[in-house]
Amino acid sequence: MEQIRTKTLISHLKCRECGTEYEPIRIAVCEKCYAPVDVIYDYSKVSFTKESFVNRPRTIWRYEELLPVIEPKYKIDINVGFTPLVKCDNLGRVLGLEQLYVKNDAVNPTYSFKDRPAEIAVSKALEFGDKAVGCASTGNLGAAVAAHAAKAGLPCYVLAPVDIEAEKIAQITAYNAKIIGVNGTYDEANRLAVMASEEYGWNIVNITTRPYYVEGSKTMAFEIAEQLGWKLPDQIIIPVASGALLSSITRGFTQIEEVGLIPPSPVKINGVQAEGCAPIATAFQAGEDTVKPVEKPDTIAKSIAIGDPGDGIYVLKYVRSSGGIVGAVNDDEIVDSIKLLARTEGIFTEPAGAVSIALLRRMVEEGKVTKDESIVCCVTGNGLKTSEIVPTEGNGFAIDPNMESLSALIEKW
Amino acid sequence: MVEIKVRLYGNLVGFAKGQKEVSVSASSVKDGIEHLIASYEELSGRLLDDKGNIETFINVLVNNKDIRYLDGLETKVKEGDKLIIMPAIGGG
Repeated sequence: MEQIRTKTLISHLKCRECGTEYEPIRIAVCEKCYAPVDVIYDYSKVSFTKESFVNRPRTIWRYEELLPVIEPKYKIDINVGFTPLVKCDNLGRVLGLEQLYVKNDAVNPTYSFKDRPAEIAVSKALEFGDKAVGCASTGNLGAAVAAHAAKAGLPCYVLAPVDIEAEKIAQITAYNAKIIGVNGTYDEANRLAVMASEEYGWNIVNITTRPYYVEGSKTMAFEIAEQLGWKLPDQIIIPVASGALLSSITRGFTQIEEVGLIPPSPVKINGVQAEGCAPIATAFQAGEDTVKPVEKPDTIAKSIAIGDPGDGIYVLKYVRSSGGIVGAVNDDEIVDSIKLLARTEGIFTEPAGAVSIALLRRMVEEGKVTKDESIVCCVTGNGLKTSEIVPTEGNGFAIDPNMESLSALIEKW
Repeated sequence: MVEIKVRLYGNLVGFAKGQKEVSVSASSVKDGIEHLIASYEELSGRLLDDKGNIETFINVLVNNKDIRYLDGLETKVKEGDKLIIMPAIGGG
């Protein structure tokens, strides 16, 4: 009987460094040189045009041809993606920019961009016949994988630094995943996850099947292009932890050029880290091609506190070849940017999402963006996940239920 | 020279004749790895590059601590220390 297939054009896997090719098997990294492995698609079979997308589902699955899931029955779908690309006229006026957009991934089902890779990874885990999934996480991925595992009916194990935000722990727990709080950094949790995947056979999705996992994130690039009317922005600013999101978005932009949906279009790719954990920004500024890891990250942007970034060398390469920058912003700038975005555009993001706004403000000051350039800031997670960051004092709160108390409060403002 | 344990992960195990854990004599991480390669030739070219540095995508730990935060390949080892060698699989 002929296998019923999705529309995927997956062809094979290829090592990013040594070029070794593999069938689309369950693999973490290149078996020869341990470098990342990329999914390759057969563009000769492309039959879609821009018009093909008009009536498709408003989720990441609208780009099924360029996603790696082969059998429809394994697709897990909790309505991820096709998040708003918000034209930010108010924030643009404050900053003197006429074409400013925010890609608001804070409104995904588990409130961060991590739903994108998690949806693809858990679908592939089902396709590979895995009996349990998991991840190493700073919180957002844990919630995303846990939700998808719940939908898929798989047990889920999340290894995370023990000091991640209470909101994220609550969310992961609610989805009935087992959360393993590691007394250490993200990198230490990640290493333990590598060991656990071998010891227990868990599919730690951001490790065990990493080539497929990262494919989910590139859908953000497809959406941005489609939402801009099938064109690319002049610049984009992307929060960077491991660098996998920046690599994936870069690959997404390249792929839609290669399949002919848009003409070749230069985009300045900018990455941003928090100063308390900025190994890639430090290497960028020093002109280095390699990344010296940070042993003890220290920032309120815990979601992006990865000291030993797996895609660091690729971030440096992609950003430099695009003419962009990798910057680092401090915690005060991050909090100010959370408030600025919330107050001007009604978008409440967590620190890791606000770093893109914080870098944008610096770029404006330094003349690295001009007022008529189109620029997209990726906002990757929701402010409700880190509610302690923006204090509520100063806005008043408790009054007695009478007009005297109300008037007294209002006079204070 | 003292005797230390080396734990391998990923397909490195296959290149050490299927052994996850082996013992080698060493005074530093560097000669521990060199002795390991001498015993298991198939590991040659997988752990150290042409200049003798750790390959880009390999992580080495001494007692669970990344040697990049110690003295790198020159990190001294003592009797009973445990070396872990694993592919550096980026998370995030």
